[in-house]
Amino acid sequence: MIIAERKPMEEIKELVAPYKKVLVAGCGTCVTVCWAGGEKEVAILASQLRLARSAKGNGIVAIEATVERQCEREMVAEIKDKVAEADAVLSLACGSGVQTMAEMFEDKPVFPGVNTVFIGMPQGEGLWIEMCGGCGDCFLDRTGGVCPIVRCAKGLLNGPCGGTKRGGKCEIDPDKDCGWVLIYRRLEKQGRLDLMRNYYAPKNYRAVKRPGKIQAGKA
Amino acid sequence: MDRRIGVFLCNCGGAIKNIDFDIAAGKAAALPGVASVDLSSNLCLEEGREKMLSRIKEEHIEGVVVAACSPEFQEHIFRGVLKEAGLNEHLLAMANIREQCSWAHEGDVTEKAVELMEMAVRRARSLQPIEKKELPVNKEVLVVGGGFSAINVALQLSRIGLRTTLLQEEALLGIGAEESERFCCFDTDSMISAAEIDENIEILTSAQMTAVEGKVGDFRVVIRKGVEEIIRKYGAIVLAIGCQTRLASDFGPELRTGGGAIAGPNIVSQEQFCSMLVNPNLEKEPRTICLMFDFSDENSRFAAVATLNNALAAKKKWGSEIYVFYKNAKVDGQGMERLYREARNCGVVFVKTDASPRIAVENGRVGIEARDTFLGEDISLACDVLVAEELYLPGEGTGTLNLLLNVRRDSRGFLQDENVHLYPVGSERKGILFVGGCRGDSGIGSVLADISSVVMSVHELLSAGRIPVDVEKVRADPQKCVACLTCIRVCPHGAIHLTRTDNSKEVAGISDLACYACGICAAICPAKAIRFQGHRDEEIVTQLEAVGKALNGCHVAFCCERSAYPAADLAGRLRLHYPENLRIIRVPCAGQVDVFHILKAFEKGAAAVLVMGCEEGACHHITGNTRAKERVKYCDMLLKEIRVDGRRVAMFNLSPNAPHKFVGAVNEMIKTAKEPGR
Amino acid sequence: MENKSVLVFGSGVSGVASALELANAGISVYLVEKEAVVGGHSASFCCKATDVCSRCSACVVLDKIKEAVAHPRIRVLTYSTIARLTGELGNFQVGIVKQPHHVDEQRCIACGVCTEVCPVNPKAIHPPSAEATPFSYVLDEGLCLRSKGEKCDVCRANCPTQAIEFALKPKEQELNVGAIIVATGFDVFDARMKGSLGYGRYSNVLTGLDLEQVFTREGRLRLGADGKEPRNIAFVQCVGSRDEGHGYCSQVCCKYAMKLAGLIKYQSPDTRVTIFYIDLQTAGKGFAQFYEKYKQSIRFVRGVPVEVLQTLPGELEVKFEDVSEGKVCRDTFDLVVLSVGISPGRNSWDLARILGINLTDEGFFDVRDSIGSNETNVDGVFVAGTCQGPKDIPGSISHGIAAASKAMQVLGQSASQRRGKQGSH
Repeated sequence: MIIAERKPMEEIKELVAPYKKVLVAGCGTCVTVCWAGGEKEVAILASQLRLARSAKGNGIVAIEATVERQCEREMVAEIKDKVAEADAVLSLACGSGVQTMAEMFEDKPVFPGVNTVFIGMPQGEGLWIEMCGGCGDCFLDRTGGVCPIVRCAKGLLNGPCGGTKRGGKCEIDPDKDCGWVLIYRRLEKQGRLDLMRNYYAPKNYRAVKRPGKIQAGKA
Repeated sequence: MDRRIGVFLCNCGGAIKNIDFDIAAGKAAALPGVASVDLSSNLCLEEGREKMLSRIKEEHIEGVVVAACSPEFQEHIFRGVLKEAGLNEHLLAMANIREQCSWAHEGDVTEKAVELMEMAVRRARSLQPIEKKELPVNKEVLVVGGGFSAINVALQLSRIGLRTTLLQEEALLGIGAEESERFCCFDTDSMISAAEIDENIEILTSAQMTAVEGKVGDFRVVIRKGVEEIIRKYGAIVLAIGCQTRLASDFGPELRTGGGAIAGPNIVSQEQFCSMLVNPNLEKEPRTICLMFDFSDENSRFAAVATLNNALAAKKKWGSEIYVFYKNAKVDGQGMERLYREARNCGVVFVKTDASPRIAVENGRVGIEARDTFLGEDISLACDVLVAEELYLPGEGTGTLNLLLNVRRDSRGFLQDENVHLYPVGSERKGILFVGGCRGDSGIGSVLADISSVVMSVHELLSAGRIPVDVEKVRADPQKCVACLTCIRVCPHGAIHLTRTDNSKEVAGISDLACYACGICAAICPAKAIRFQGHRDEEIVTQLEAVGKALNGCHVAFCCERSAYPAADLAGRLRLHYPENLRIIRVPCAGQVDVFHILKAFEKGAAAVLVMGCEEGACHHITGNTRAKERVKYCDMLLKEIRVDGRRVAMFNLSPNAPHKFVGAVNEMIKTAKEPGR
Repeated sequence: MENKSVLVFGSGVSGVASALELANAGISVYLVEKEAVVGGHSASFCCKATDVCSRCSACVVLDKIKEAVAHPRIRVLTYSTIARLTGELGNFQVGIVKQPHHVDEQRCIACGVCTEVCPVNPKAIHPPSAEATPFSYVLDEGLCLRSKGEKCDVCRANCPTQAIEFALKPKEQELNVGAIIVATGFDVFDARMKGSLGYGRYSNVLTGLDLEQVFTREGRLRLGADGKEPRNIAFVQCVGSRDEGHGYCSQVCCKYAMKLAGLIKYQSPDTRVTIFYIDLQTAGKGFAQFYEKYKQSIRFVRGVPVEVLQTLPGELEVKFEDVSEGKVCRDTFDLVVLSVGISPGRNSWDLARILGINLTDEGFFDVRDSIGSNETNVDGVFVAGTCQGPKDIPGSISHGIAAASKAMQVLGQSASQRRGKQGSH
């Protein structure tokens, strides 16, 4: 799942400063789940904007709308009337949602209200951690299902850096587990520690040509 | 929204003098949706209620507003009138113009009363009916444990016709029950054999619970017995797994010779000492015995019972010289002082000492040195047997069980959170109950009462075979739910599970049986998919629309109906005054207050928002008030980042019997919040 | 005729707990209370929370009372006592005497008109305490002009709901019930009995209960007309417990004293608090941690004072033996709080005679086994709460529920036995 977090308020305020009517557009998928851009966050942000602007005597009409997936044209089309009404759109969707919106309403300024930060999973209530770097060349088969690209602070491919702290913690952030310790333990459990002996050449991060494009095979 | 609203105003026998009821009635009649306004002076009395009933029928009223005393006082009576009139009882909104208006302020408060009525009318227009229904429940009960409490619960449940399964890890029933026999003269053997022949009791020994799903009335339990896996269904689960004892000190290897043999220096546990007491083939009776308690654990009630009983028994049986070392005699239990005195009178010597005695081995005997508090002198003596101090700790399986059942433990690791609203035997989950030593160190007398309490609770839940519920009072809209699991993680009552809709979409399913309608889930749902009848966003926002219209600037207090709201009523009764521009919105729990509601209140013109819930550690929904506190903190941050001056939000904790704290909080808050600059 | 309703005598927290449980189980309950209001002692206890709940359970009591009074299967009879009892389990006839009290609690809407018009001062008719349930006005006969032979009728004539009636005599009625739960609670030990401690003589010697009420009334520890806050306070434990006349520990005093002390320290951290004790009773769920928290900031002295003397106005000299130091000491305080214990109810003797149940040596109601269950020597008569022996609030609630459970079980049994007999004919 894509994890995002709301942009700093100062930045948002500046983005919408010139506009009187702003559509705050949420997305009902990933960003809802990670509490960044669902209907609740839309309502909160819209309310904040109204409060901030009315305090300055520069009122704003913050229109609220949330679609199921902002990266789907058909779904975004459902709120086209509201977009038409607004001077600008503040999208709380991930980068692809923002771009879908921008592409569909080319005459409207569309701004991102969140920063899309990583692909991750929840680790408890209100806590998400990065799990996947989206490198386009997955090798989780060799690392016991733990990705060192994002779960090792240094993205090392061939074992730990040597700075692992007591209790298997990372030297850069002692709150986090060392990814390579996790890999070692997992492989140990599976009796596949021999995999640790292999050497992997530096990764070709250009395996996927930018911009990425996937054509699904015929079903 | 086109519902015909009937407003019933009551001037409480003409005693409410600071509201002009004619003006109020006139203004109420002009409110949108209001079809009739009636003024009464005794609405809550039979004659008043009868008139109300006939007016509802005459005017074809579809929603009712009662502007009178506090809903805490008579709401149930007015709901009854609605029911009698054939209306859904939930289509009632009350405006508290007595306790929280007339009595709370000096001078004319007509304007405030009108505003409170407008809030209530708006609410009444947006309320939705809630249907009642009875849901079937499984009547069988799982009792985990095989000791005194467990067996007694099963026997008593059998007596009221409920079938139980006694599930225990040990191979034999009644392990751990001897203690109760020893101390309290219970006939454990006959208790065990009664359980064994009882048709309503199924005994599963050497078995373990490995998984639990579902909710009250419908728990699905996986039991492992050897290699076999059994799946069973129960309506309720009672945990009676007892506690365990451990010596307070390990004395170091050189002092331990172990076993129950008497030769040479001997340090034994209470249990070992008991077996010495009942051993008919004891080689040599100990001539000098020392016992200890209350040095390492402030919760030493069980230890005090054990020590006193054993000291007395040894004195009577062997006539030995007996010394009991202790710091505080824990005698706050039924018959404990008597036992303590009896032991003294029989010649047991009690040595009060503030620090734990020093233990050493001298010439094959155990030497004890301590400072006698009374004498102010060091004393030392040697004994044949030292019965060491014992600690009572949570039973071994406690940690696994509480995770398995998703229930909390207290700060010492015993089952049951230390929340007074759960006492005596409840957990935060309906249908899961605790009894006996697993709840912590209490006296045997209270354990007996707790056993009966469990039986009563189970009876109320299951005996009828069905439980009346409010249908879908709190519900996750499957269209909007994104199955983010947030509500499932936050529900303090374990009432929400992932379920599949008819078209197999995974969504949050809220069990009407297990739900306590606190609204914590509704306030956190990021998709705004959970709607809580009576407290939906619409119902709250529409009330906020009316706030602060009549007055220049206002303050909104979201008050928990279990604490702050009744405290505000009490303040009114005591005529403790606070500023008139406070508007109270009654919520089921502070945890139901959404960040969005708070911001909305500011948008509608509030200068200050107070969220008021139960005292920390005493939330009826366990985490509601702490969540509210976090949300208020978050909200404060949201306000700070938009730099809106003069708006303040704060959380206050108070109990229902703390009217002064309520008024103090309101005054403090309003004093520090600036008038809105609009 | 088998009767499945239950009479609960006494509406303190255990009685209310019994009544609620029975009512929730579908059994009709008469909740009979000799006083004007429901709730007994614990309903007037103050909240002792500091920054966190101190688990005094006072609010739980209010919850239960509110629920019970609104329960459709519970009928509350205030000002009422049991005068007679005949019959047996399943079919008791109980004679109830209701004392005249002039204000009909069914009709009083607490509007306050009567107080307003009452011509005497202090007012002869006045509101009950703020937390009272039912919240119905009270006529103080001693103050009323009618007691002085005058023909005043102002309050009755002005009452908008005709709730006031003067010419009342005690009313008798007979209730037919299947079982009886006695939950008459306790009396607070009369601290005047310990004359040397100065209670009743010095205005700044209070009992723990007095202190509770100060907090309930004021929200803070304010004393006297000038509302002064004491700065140096002594609590004296075991007043009326664990002595010659009271061979038991009252179980609640250490906890309420420490919780009140905690509350005082929380509200005004500079106030000095000393607790004089024999043995500290710190066991109980969640309490040991509370004790740990306040161990440092409260001074604990092992040794119970023998004498309290007023040296200067507002200053009390306490003479005590400090056991740990092994010497007799004197110290001055501006407030001494006597942690009075739980004594058996004054009326227990009479009630025991009427009901035919036994009393213990200490004067509490006796039960069949020694460890505090609910069954008395009379089948169908159960006891609940502190009338059986000292208990704290959770203990009283649990004991109350247990009594309800026992009553329900015997009623169920006797009904089925009756059916069994009929079947055999």
